[in-house]
Amino acid sequence: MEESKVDMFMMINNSNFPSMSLPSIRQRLVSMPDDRFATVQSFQFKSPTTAIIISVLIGSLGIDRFYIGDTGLGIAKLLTCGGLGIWTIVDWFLIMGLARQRNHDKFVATLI
Amino acid sequence: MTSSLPLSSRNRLYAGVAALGAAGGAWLVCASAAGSGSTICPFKLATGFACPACGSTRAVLALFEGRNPLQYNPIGLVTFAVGALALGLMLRDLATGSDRLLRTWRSAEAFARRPPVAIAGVGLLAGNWIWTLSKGL
Repeated sequence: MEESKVDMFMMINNSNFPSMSLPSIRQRLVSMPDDRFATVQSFQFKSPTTAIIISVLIGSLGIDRFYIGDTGLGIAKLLTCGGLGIWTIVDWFLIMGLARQRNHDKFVATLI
Repeated sequence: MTSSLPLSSRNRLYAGVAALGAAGGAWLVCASAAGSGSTICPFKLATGFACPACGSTRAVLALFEGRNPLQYNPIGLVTFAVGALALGLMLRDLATGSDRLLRTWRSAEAFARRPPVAIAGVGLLAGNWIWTLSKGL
């Protein structure tokens, strides 16, 4: 794929991926055939910023876990008053990284 | 591909179940010893209203003490039953080397994601929450 398109994609989406994996994602995109760019552009990434806002506001209901796709853990968190409040606080610090990790997993799984 | 999805591997799921089970058991013992009247639910402390799961501990304790658990939150009974079942399955898996709990977890998650099931679940939870609030837990 063209370097300029890849750079544009990376500029828009760099906050949606773990910073460690940015070089490998760029590498994958550069070596990807042009016709797959539409697939890449149609990805709906989960925004880490949205995740942290949900987590702080209604994290004790587990909605942040549902948002990033951890349905089972979301239900567990909902049914335990947010893990008695402890899990809620732990997730405030974890949820942005988890959202980026899920985006990366989804990106890699779809392109393989 | 080594997936980093949570609880995707057998050991991580089992560690999670064991940790949640131990925390749940410890909580029940503490709550039973401390008696009712106090809460640490962040939602209730922040808003003054019961969260969808408030009253779960009281329901389970009421069940053990022979009182009617339905005057509290019936979700507690479901949580307790599912937790006990998961712990039982985990112990059985650890003894036999099987991964039954992991497969059950995955299919349950896929089942809960289906739109009709998810909508029904949210409706049930909302209805139960209204019931909880009307009981003034």
